[in-house]
Amino acid sequence: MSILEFSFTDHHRRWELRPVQFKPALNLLVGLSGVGKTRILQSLEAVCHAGIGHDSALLECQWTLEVKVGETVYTWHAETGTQPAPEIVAIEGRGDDDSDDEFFQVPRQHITFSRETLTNDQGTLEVSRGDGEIAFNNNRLPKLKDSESVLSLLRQEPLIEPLFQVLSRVHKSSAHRIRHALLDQRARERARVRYQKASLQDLQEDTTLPFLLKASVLQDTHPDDFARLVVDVYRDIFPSVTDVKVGLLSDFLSERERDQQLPAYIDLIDIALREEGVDGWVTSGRMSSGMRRTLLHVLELVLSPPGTVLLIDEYENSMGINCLPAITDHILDRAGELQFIITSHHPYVINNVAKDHWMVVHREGSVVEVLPASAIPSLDTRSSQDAFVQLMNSKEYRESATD
Amino acid sequence: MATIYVIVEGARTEPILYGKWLPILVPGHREINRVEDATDDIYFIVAGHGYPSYMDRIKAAVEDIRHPDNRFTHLIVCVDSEECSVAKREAELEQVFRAHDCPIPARTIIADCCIETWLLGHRKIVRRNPESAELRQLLDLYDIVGRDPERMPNLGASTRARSHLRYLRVVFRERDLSYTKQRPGRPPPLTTSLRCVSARTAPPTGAPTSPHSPASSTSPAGSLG
Repeated sequence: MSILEFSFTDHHRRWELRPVQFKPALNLLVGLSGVGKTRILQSLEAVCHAGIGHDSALLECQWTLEVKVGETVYTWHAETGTQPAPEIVAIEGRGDDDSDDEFFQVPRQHITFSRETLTNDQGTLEVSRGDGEIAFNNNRLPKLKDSESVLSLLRQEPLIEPLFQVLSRVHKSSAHRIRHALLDQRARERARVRYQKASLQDLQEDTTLPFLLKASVLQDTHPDDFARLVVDVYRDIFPSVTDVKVGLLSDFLSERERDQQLPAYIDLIDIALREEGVDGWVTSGRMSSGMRRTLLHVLELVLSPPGTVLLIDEYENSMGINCLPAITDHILDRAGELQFIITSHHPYVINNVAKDHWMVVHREGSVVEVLPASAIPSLDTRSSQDAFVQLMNSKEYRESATD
Repeated sequence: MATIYVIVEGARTEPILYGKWLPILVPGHREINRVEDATDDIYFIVAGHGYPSYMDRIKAAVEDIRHPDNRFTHLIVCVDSEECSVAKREAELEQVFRAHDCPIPARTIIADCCIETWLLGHRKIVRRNPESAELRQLLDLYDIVGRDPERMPNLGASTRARSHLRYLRVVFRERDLSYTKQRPGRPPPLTTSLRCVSARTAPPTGAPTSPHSPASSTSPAGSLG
């Protein structure tokens, strides 16, 4: 299961991504700052979210997404309409690596799908939407709401369900996945019971469990796997760490901190570590950003089921040279089972990922194009210069942003 | 005719500058993008990514040159002396050439102290009667038009190279232009650097002798043989 091709145009913001072909295992997007690497990931994530019925801000956009599920290739094309100025309905914390307390006003956007087609290469599926009508394999359907994609509306159709499942496995890696969160105790108990005797893969396949809750269930139901795949891997990178644990935030705090910071009636789940020479637990909010980001990637690699598409922006951010090699190694290990689309500028990453996986992002005005390394003649060389130097030396990289 | 492997100091300014200057310095030669494409009349430019990273580039260049199919006849390293003397930087590079046992003639072209110093050698870009008080003050401190930019001391910045960069920016601003190391823009004419280097290698009669001259191997216009 993997994303094969993606093209995207945002008419509202005047930005266009020409069709880009992804490889099934690892895609390393490289290019100067400002060429649009991050925006590619954001657009792809937003499109996949829109596909499975989540809110997204895709106004006046159109895209084509080609996805391979088993032996079937699905092609989904969509065009969205305009929307009156959105009302701000929520204020939500969205801490990232660098800022714990940044708050954003989050407008609720309801996109409207004006035109869609969804087909497969077997010739067994043909859905079209236009002029307010939807036809499914030549059968006109009753009027359905235009704020949801045909993919989401018809998700229970056996021909569409596998594609829906794939799109729900596209995740953008983000540090807030391992920040403390409200804990649903009953959901935890149910999951503990369900996965007590199940395999690790069964647990991985459950994409409904919130990230930290899934980590907690792994720790409780598969302690050996948790110790081997999370604690030991993390300790290899940070030898001063003696333990990693998922639990109630209140259990990680001293009595005084608990009284000061937490209302007694709220259960928060968090992940914490113990370090030699440091008293008490270091909770996720108090970890260094490098340690937190490394822990996030370790957990993502363990908890993601095969078929997951992981989008990692600015992969090297916060990670020192003590973390990058190990995490890069683990990513290369799982590439293929998981599809990775990663952006990076870091020489270590570029030097240690084979050229076949590089994709050079190039922007001319507001049009973005992605070239595979094989399309750049100067990279096909026997030179002993570092791969990173060869890339930087290539005309396509040096001139990757022209206004 | 020669087949030249060129390593330049930085990643942005120097590849652009040398890309424009080399066709004039070695007429009849053209740039190639892959070592495999080397013929008798080409040059191949590799960005050094600064000191000391470019030392790794030199090592890799010698490996390329040692390849059985090698066609390169000259290795040229174009770098900055920065805070040390040209003679010291040159000795350091000679040592690196020897350590890697470079099998072809290796030459250095060293800017004293950075590429911006050479850009300051562009006489026409510096206004004699500037409107900006900052440039007037700098000209009073060191008259970049009448004097050798390579002799300019640190005019109060954290390093001499920063001082030269700051001077160049002020010169550009006076003409409503901007200069950044990341986006250097169009390169100035070659005479800029020749003025600097010739001042160093062949001081006019009566002029004070440069502490690091003569340095025949630092002349970009000199024979490659």
